[in-house]
Amino acid sequence: MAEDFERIVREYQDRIFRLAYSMLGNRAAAEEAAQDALVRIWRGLPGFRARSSLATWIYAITRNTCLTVLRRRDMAVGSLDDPASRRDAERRMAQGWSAATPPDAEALLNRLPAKYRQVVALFYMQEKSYDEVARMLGMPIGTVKTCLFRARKCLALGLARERVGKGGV
Amino acid sequence: MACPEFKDLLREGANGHAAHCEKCRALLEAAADVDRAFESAFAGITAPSGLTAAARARLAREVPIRPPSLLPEALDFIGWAAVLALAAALLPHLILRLAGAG
Repeated sequence: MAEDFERIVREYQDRIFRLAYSMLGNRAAAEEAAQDALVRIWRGLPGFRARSSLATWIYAITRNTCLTVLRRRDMAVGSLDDPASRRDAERRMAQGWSAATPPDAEALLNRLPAKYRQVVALFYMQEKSYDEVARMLGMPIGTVKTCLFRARKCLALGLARERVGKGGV
Repeated sequence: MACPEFKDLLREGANGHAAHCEKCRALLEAAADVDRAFESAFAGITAPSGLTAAARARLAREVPIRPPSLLPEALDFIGWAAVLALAAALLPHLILRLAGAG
């Protein structure tokens, strides 16, 4: 079992950390959640029956660990299909841009609802692999593509509008 | 000419409609800037070097201390019980012998 765990750590620690970072939004919280996830993986390893792939199981543990942290923080993760989440995104867009040129990634991300933020951050961390992001977040690949498209459109429109407002274009 | 949808604009790139439309060119440039900002912020992020060591340390702390075994106590009890049973069985014979000898 110790050998299996060592292999998991070697192979998955970066992806566990990235997934946690994309969900929690800061490095310190992500590191702590990744530690928690590794501890849970160690404990769950004897009971792992390979009904799902090892990667799917590891990502599910990591996501659940992060959701526990988010619940503790009392932060709701928005859903694409949730009208409140969409209204929130529209409100953020309408707020106007405070980011300087060139745009700051964190300021850009903060303009997006939580679900978009996760997908965008993870997509760039995972070398722009739709497939891997879908697997890691447990989402259909179509949902990942939709999230990314909406997020990019929302951010590009906002940035272009701000530049026009500043007389940059 | 009407401006294309955002996805068509991305597909066409700078040489399509955006080449003749200032507004769409600005939007395309903004999209590229967004892409660059995220790439430079997130590409190549790896787990902190101390992550594994910290997880191992936590595991070491969290492994429960095993309760002491009851086996030595049980063997002790069985041994003393056997001695007492033997003594109880032999004592009447011993008493009878001593009485007979007397």
